Amino acid sequence: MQSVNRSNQNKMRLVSSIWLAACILGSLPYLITGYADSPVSAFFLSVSSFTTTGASLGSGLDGGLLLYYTACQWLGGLAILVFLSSLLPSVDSDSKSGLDSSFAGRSFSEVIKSREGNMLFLIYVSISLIMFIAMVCLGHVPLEALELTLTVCSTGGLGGTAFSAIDAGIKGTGAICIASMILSTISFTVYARLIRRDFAYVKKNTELRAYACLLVSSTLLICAANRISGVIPDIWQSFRAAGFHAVSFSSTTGLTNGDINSWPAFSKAVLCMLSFFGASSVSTGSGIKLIRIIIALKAIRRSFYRRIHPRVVMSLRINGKAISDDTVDQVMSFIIHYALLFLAGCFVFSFSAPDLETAFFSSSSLINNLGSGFGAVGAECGYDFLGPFGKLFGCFLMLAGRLEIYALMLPFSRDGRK
Amino acid sequence: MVLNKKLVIKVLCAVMALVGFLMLIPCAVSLIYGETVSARAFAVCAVPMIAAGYAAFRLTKAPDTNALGLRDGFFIVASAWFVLSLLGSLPFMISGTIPNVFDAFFETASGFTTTGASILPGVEDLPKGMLFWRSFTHWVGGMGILVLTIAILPALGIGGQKIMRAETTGPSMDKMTFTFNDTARSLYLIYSAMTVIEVVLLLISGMDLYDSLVYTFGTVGTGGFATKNDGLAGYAVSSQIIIAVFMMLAGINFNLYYLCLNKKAGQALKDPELKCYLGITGGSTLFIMVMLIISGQAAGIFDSFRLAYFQVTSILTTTGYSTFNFDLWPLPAKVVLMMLMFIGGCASSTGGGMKVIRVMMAFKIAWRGVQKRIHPSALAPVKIGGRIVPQDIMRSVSEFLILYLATLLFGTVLVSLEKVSLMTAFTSVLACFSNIGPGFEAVGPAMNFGFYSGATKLFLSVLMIAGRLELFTIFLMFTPAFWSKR
Amino acid sequence: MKVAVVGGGKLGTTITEALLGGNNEVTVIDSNPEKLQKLSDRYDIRPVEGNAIETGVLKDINISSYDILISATDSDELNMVICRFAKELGCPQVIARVRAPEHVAQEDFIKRSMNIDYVVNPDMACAQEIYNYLTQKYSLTGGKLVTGKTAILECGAEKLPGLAGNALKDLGHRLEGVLIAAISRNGKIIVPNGSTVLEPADTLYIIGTEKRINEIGAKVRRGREHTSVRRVMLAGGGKTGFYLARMLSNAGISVKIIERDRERCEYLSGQLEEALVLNGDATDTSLLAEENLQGMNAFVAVTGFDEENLLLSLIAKRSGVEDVVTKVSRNSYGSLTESLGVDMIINPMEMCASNILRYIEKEGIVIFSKIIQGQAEFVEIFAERNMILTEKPLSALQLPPGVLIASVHRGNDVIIPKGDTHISAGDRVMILSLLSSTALLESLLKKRR
Repeated sequence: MQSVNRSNQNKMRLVSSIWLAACILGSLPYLITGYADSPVSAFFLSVSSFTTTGASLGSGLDGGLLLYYTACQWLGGLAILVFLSSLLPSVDSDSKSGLDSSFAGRSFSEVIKSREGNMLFLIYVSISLIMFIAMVCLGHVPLEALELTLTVCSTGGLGGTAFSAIDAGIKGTGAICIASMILSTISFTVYARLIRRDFAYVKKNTELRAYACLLVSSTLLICAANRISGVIPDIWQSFRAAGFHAVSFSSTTGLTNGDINSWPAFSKAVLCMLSFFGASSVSTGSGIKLIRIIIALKAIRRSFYRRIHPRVVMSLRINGKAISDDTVDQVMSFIIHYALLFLAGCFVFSFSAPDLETAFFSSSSLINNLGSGFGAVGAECGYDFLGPFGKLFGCFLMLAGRLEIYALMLPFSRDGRK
Repeated sequence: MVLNKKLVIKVLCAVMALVGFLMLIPCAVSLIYGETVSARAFAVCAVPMIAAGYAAFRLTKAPDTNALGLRDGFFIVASAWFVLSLLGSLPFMISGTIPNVFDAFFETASGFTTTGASILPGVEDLPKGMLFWRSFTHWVGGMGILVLTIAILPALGIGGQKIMRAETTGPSMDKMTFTFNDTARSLYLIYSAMTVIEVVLLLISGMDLYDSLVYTFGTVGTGGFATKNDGLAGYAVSSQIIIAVFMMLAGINFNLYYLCLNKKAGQALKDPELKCYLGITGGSTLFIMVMLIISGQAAGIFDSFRLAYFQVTSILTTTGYSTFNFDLWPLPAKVVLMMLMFIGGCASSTGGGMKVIRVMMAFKIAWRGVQKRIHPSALAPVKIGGRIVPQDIMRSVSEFLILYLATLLFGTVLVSLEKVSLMTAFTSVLACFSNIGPGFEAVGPAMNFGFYSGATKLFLSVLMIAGRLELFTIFLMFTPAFWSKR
Repeated sequence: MKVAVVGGGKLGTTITEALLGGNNEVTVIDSNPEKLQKLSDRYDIRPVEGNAIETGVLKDINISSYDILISATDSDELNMVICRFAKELGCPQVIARVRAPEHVAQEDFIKRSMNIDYVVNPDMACAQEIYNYLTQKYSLTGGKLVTGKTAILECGAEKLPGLAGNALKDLGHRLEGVLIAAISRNGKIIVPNGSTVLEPADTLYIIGTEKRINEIGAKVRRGREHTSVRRVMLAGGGKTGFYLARMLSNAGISVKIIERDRERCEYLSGQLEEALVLNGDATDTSLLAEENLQGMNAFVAVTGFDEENLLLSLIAKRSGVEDVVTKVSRNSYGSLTESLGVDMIINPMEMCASNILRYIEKEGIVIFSKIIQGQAEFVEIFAERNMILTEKPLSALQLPPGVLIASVHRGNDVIIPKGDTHISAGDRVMILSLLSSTALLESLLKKRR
């Protein structure tokens, strides 16, 4: 057991180190070109790209830098898919929700060469390829199409109006973006099973069903709220805008279209909620992950039953199979940990934020790897208001959210320091 | 339904009669101040309530008290609190002080649940009797009306255990006395003693009797209703400090006072929750002091200390009094206050919120999760004060915390349907659910909840009661499994 | 027949006893010498101490000379392998007891691959009986059964006007041409005689010609055919409880199951999605009250202990539950159970034993058999020459208690037997026998050499 622990720890350490190294090295182009005004800002941008967050520091990221940024996002998405699903199965330590069992515990080379690893890679590349081709067919300039594809498929997004592809106003762009975002945020295990023609699994998949319900209901609610409050008078337009943003926020992409800051508080609240738990496990989306929320809700439901029937023994089911108590404990503690980090972020950012709402949304947006938000971080300005410490803490939040906290906490644990 | 109907009726009648009795006190106050309208309103409510309550109580046949089931306990508590708030709001409506039923219910629920959120735009020209009743409900609700009922009515004492569990479902690792009745009585004694001492001290500091009583009610009950529109800003600094200290005392676990009385003060001082609570108070006060000095909103160290200390204890214990419109404070200070709103007082105190002990456990649970990930086979028990916390208590704390957060989220989304900013919506929900009182922005300390629609006020009232009863009791009412015959 | 019984536990004992009633030589193999000693003290068997899985042991007793081997040890896998070995070594027929839920779904596969001829699952059979009873209230589908020219009608005594309150011998004119073969009263099946007085709550099993039965059946005021069972509480989460809970849940009935062992509870809650699994002691009255015992439509006591089951049934009946079913494995409680007033008592071992016997004799004389209420069965046999049954007129035969000759189908006629009826070879005889009297029935069907 000890040696397994050790190798697990070593892997986690390796992963964290690789990420840090990549972020540090990757920040050089921003520094060199002079776009970033300080190493900290460059680091911030680099982290924001690899963690597929998409937090910007003001506008003006274009040309080659934009391509570089989005490429980093795409690579970040790939890295997460492959490495994370092998080391830290996102839900339980029995790696039941990772791609088909025995991923955890293998070495990197094994993972990369394995069939499952290849499958993840292929699916990811296929989605990107399909979107790119579709965009070009619609008539976009290839470079712009490429940038948008890279950022959308990795569910990264970028704050500010950096994407001329969106502004070009070509009909159908929105639909393609929506489709790609949805595809990227559904659990990739579903694809793996589809390839094996295991349709029963797909139908029973708890996460998929929850996601569908969530998406539909939030779109309708936002649409209704916007229409009633008069922000978007045309109902069809309201529906499209609601759909686009619901997908964008739930996949933690963060692409916005239009001035969502003027939306009623209700719509903002719903979108914010979506960014916390809209994405499914084993996808490029981030946040607490839908499956954890489902498990937590089921656990709470069971606690209600326990109050009425104190001796009841109730097992919680995901995808039709019962899950262990240990798994449930892990999920709950993860959620609590996440909430604590979020609150810490609010506190840190409140020093430099112009108002409370901005502080909140900055924190939520960074830890969920969303990028965009409301208040001052929506639209143009980005996160530039943060001082150097704020930016560093922001990087910490982004990495924590992306790497699901634990790998990052390793240095703080007792053994980790050895 | 699997409920013992006779028992439920008996308890509710007892509650009704009790409320009637209590109303006689503000009635007397109204008479003293010559407010005939108010006095009449109280009398008109009190007399029938006492009569009907008593009569119905005697007429209902004695139920088989051994048949007090679990669901009975929950239902009794939930319905009692609603009945309480409803009946208590009648004087307001009848006298015309608060004519709208949603408003009156909100204000009364806010009183009994010791929240302190108000829909009134200004209080200074309201009848004194009415204001007295408003604050008196804090005092009554602070210790729990049911605990009171059960301590007084020994006939129901047998099943009292289940009812008390339903009312205070916090994590209890110790039971201080041998029987349940002893516990209730002791707590009330301590509570009353605290009340008397504070009234005396406030009198000495220059407040008149009426104000002393009103503010003491609000302090020991950690409620927050005031008699002036600007809260406590206009009173002497000494009064403010006394109130601040007593707020802090009210937020401490009352069982520790019991220990002190039994000459076990040393054990009391070692309580980990107490230490954490005092630490949070001290740390937040210091931080806000610094912030205030930097922002220039305080005139010197002592001034910043009194402002910070007052507000910190007020918010931490979920009382809600203010000496300054803290909505104008620098952002980091406000964020700290917001965190305090989440935390709340200690377990078994009159404060609301999540309770310090749960927050302590939250950190340990989160940390333990990390440890388990890194060392999956390690046994990492959570310890508080050197004692191991059993797994199921930890689990129920996790469930409580997540349910709390989920309710806040869900409540915010619902309230945001009104035309308010997100912060307003969020802090409205937080202020009511944690029984604090004021929030930020449109429901800040200088504002009130009056602009909300009736439905929203009702929703917030339900949240207040749910928060006071530690969530499950009220939420169970909405669970189909509770009502099924299964 | 020469029969080898492996395992001297409850099932093994019950089978042995039933077999010995017939013309059978029984060898019991068990590795526990004490059990063997007890058995051979009580019954006329050939005891063999040893582990039947060792082929040496099987060869020693010359298994190829046996007609049947029945493996009734505690382990399913052991039973299966022993049967396979026995088959290989030349035993013509093998029967295995297989109880685990995992094997239920693959029973056919097991029989094919292990070359086992018959599989008994006492828990499943028991659960099935209880399920039928709870959901249909009748043992016979639609309350009626027809075989050849004979028909049996099942109905409540109050449904036929004028019957209740009278002794059988006084109802001769009403019951012209038919016979009341069995009465189910308070959960027990009674074989009536002339002086038995019918009570309104009794369920009657009436046998006669098809025509006559149809006449009577038409007069029966059929009320609600199916029970409206909505909520059932089960005590005992063993295999029987599990099978039953699953069946009931699938039928949309709300099930609560109380089980003492925590791990077993986890297993149950993992397997049973709809049922509410409670971890506790079912004899704890506060738990029963907490979980609303009196609001239940039916209560089933299927723990592993007969005494607990009886006690629980009593508690349930006192609390006013409409239908109370008890599982009892030992015959010694026979008469006690009737006074408890429960609605159904079921003995899984006896059911299995009789199932096995019917299977064994299938090719021979048994045309048809049907178990009613898990306690008695109707068996229709071909009477053969030299059977003890055919030697004398019925009144001289000294029929054992618990056995009733219900009807005789000779040629084209259906005869309701009276004292002077003499059964001859070639007759189809419908017999009603309590399961506890299976051995005695076998003695009737023995052939005099």
